[in-house]
Amino acid sequence: MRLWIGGGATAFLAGLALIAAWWTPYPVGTIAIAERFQPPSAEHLLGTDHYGRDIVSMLMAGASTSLGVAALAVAIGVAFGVPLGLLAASGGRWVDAVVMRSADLAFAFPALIVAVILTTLLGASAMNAAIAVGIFNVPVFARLAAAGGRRVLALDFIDAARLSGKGRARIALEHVAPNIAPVVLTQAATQFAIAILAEAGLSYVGLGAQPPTVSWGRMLNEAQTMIAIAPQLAVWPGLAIVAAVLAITTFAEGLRARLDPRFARAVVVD
Amino acid sequence: MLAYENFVAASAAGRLVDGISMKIAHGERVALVGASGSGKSLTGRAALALPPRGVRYSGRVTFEGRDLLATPERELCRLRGATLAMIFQEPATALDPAMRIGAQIEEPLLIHTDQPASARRDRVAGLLERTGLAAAGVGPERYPHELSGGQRQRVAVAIALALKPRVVVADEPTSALDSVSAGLVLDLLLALTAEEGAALLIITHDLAVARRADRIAVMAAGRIAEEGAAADVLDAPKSAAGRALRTGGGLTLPARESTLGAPVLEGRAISVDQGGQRVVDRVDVAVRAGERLALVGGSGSGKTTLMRALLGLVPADGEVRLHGAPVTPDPRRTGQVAQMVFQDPATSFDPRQSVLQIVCEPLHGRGLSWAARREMAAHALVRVGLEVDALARRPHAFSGGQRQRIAIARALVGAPAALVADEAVSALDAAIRRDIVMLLDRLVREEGIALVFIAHDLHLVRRLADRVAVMEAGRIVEEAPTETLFATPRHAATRALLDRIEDDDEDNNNHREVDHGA
Amino acid sequence: MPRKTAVNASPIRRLLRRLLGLAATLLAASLLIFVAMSVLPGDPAEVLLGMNADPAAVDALRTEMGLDQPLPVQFARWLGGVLAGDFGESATYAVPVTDLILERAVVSVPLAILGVLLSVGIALPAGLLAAIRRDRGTDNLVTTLAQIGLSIPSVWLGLILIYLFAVVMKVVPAGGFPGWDAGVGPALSALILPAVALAAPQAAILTRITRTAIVEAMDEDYVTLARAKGRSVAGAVARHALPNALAPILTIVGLQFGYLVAGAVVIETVFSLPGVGRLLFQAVSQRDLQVVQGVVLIVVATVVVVNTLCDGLAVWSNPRQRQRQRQRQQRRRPA
Repeated sequence: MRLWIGGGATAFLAGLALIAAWWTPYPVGTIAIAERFQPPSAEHLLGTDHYGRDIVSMLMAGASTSLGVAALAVAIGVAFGVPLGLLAASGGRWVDAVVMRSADLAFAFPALIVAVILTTLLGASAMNAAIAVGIFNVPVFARLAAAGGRRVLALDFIDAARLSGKGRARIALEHVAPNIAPVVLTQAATQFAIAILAEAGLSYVGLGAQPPTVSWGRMLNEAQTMIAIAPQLAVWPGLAIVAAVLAITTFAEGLRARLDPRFARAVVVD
Repeated sequence: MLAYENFVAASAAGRLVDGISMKIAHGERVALVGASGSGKSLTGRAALALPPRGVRYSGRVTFEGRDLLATPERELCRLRGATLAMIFQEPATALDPAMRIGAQIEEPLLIHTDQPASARRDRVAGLLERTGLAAAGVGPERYPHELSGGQRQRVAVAIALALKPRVVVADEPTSALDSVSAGLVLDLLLALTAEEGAALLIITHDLAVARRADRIAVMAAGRIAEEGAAADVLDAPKSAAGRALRTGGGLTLPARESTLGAPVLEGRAISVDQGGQRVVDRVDVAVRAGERLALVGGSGSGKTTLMRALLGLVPADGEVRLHGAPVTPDPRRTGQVAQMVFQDPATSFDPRQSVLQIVCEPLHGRGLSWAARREMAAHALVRVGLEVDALARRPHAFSGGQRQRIAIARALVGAPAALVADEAVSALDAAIRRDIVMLLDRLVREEGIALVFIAHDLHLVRRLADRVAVMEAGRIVEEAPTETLFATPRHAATRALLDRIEDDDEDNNNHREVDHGA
Repeated sequence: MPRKTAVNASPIRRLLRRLLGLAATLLAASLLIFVAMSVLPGDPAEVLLGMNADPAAVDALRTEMGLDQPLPVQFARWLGGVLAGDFGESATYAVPVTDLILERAVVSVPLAILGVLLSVGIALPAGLLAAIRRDRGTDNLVTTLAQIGLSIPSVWLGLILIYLFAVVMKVVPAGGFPGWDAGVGPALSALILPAVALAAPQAAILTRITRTAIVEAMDEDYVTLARAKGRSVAGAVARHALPNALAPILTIVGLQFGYLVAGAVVIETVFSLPGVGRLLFQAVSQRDLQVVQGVVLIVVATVVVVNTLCDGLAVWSNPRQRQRQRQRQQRRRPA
């Protein structure tokens, strides 16, 4: 049930974001001061903002930024974190210690701090925000994969595989990875939701997407200056974020219940 | 005094206990026996009106005329721990790991009495004394993890008897313990309940335990199959469930000819250190082709670790020889000669693989075609008595006994010279256990495989093994041909193990004679 | 027998070992930050003096700042300064970075403490209540609220609070900070709304974690045994489940602290509080390297210290863990 509601809502948002990459009902790059602060109407379903831009179009464009950044951030986390975790679980004691201590160290750098460093180095951009959140995701997935991997590696069927002549790498690939896939998938959904929140925070403070790129966090930032005149401008991007995060976390919970990770339990760092 | 009337326990999946009635008198000892899943634990917990999550009790369970299932929670709290007490199976999890044992024993006194602190302290000290913990140097300031399993179970006994309860429910109080401590804990439990005049409802699957009760009720599939005086039920069971309980009952193995070959799997001065402790200490062990070697000993004596060390699954010192030639103990190497069957059928397969993938696994890296491997897997399945169409399914679709057959098929598919079975049948019900044992026996006889098996069940050992090695504290303390060892045990550890089955042996002896004659 | 010998790893030894680990982590973190900031293209001396500065003056400043030294020497000098409380000089304000940070910390530190207190104060009772009433109405309500709380970005919550309390009701100013000189009352009231916006998502996360940890502990045999001793459900939870659930909860609180610090930095911007966060963002936009480096180091160090503290408390609250750690140390030592 949760799986379908959450999954459906997530797919709908992802669809809107994809469409917005090529087409929005109105262009979001052009300013039409004459059209500004229009109330909702048949033409502009949610009205227009202080530059006269269509809010529905802005939200759609923002979705493609937010979801794109979040997807990239999770992909970075999975691509680097899972192999590192598997390495730690199936490698020797030294490899394990080095990987795990590095993960501990990486946890000391909140995504915001990484974004600050990256922005100081390279200037602000949506890509930097994605990398910053992605770097923060690496130790999350590394720890998850290591913990799950260790639990799987302690089971009897691993000994059977070793007696069958399989080496460490092969066992990690053929037995450990498929068995921790459900937890990784579930955690990926959770991290995706967290990444959307993080992206909103980063672009709000100016460490993420820069004009003319539209993002929900920047919409919130611009709305704050208008809050006394046009509070509705702050409502829509906020609701969009809440809806996206709720949809994805619901999907994640459904996934968790459905996949029933038998051998590797998710760590609760959500 | 305690009476079940049409008692029912139900979960969302259906009725787990299906309308049973039973009475327990003052000071009486009743054993509730039955296979796992027969509903005996749920019945036991009903005496404290403490259903596990997701289970609902109905019917009546009366204590001195009062229906416990209809008593409000507040009043139940007053009865529990004071009048009705309980001991759980698993000493490792039943005590609070974050609380000193003195405080845990004191808890019932604190909840139910107004005794001053000094009186409570004295009572705790008295209980530690009485349960033999004080003599073992265990004081109230210790934490559970600092105690052995047997000592923890003594603490549980002390908690149950802290206030003079009228009814004590003991749920498999000894099955997680090694045979020596199990005997001591059981003696203590019986002596203390008798002293206090408490009725004892003891839940067990161990007939040696059940024999100590006045009456036995046999449960099967949520119903009481039969009930009667202990001796009657054990010696002349009327129901099928009663007969099935008998260990090794009906196990008939053909007489064997001793045609022993050369040593197949051999370890010299094997030592294993784990966590700063020497788990296996300079052990020499060997098994020959066509030989059945049993490895017995209390839990933690190092049996499993020794076998795993021989196969190179744990790092070890010493020399491993395969077919007489010394090798580096690497599982990739040893696996070509020896394969293993594990204790728990639930964890011995990768749940994401099909039976075909599982059974084919040891053929990995031999350069065989897919068709050839499939052919060999099918053949292995047939040999262990399964249908070929099992190949396409996943292991969780099979029962425990069938899974153990799949495990044996996997072990056999590469034609190993030796098979190591680590308690391969102890998780199975009696009837299925018999089938698997007969299968192992046949494999040794017909194919000349060398078999090493680890077992707790000495009846099984006596029937199946040619030679027995007894382990204690990481060493083999006695090793002898089976009948010699059973007739003239020399080491104290061996005698302690054998003592445990003495009681049960008296009535089983004639059966065994029949078995061997057949 | 190994049990007895394990005792000789004294508490002081364990504490020292932990502190040593902490120091190593801090050193690694500062090295990481230094290296990251050093690969920065551009010359701090040039930035300081402006684009059209005399090259000779830039060179002189470079020498004065030690920028002509090899990197390891620069790192050692920077670290030495940091240990002495000297984080260098701000390029834009031309004052010591230490003074700047201290001046802003009087806003940020109280805000973070308020945030922690609020979130723990809400989450612990709520999580406990939900666990005790598992699967009943109260539990569903708490879990649903937590789920929603988790989905609301704190920035947005801050905006809503500003709109409601400053624009509509006009009971507080829309932001800014009167300073502690204006009295504790006004200063605290300026921090209340930011603290609420900061704490809400943290409280939601912590509620879920508390509930899970307690529920897990409640399924343990020893909690059932406590009930068999005559404890009520609440009594068994308070006496047995909670002490055992404390370790995982504390560990997560430590891990969450990083999010909280990051959240505080953002929230300061929303409420225009003159805190460390604002200082950081100004420094980033002005490329004031010394300030960025100093603030980043302090934030990271705080997260590391709090993490270690929570881990230590978690171990201390669990006798089994204490023992395990002793044994681990035992094993490392040569025989």
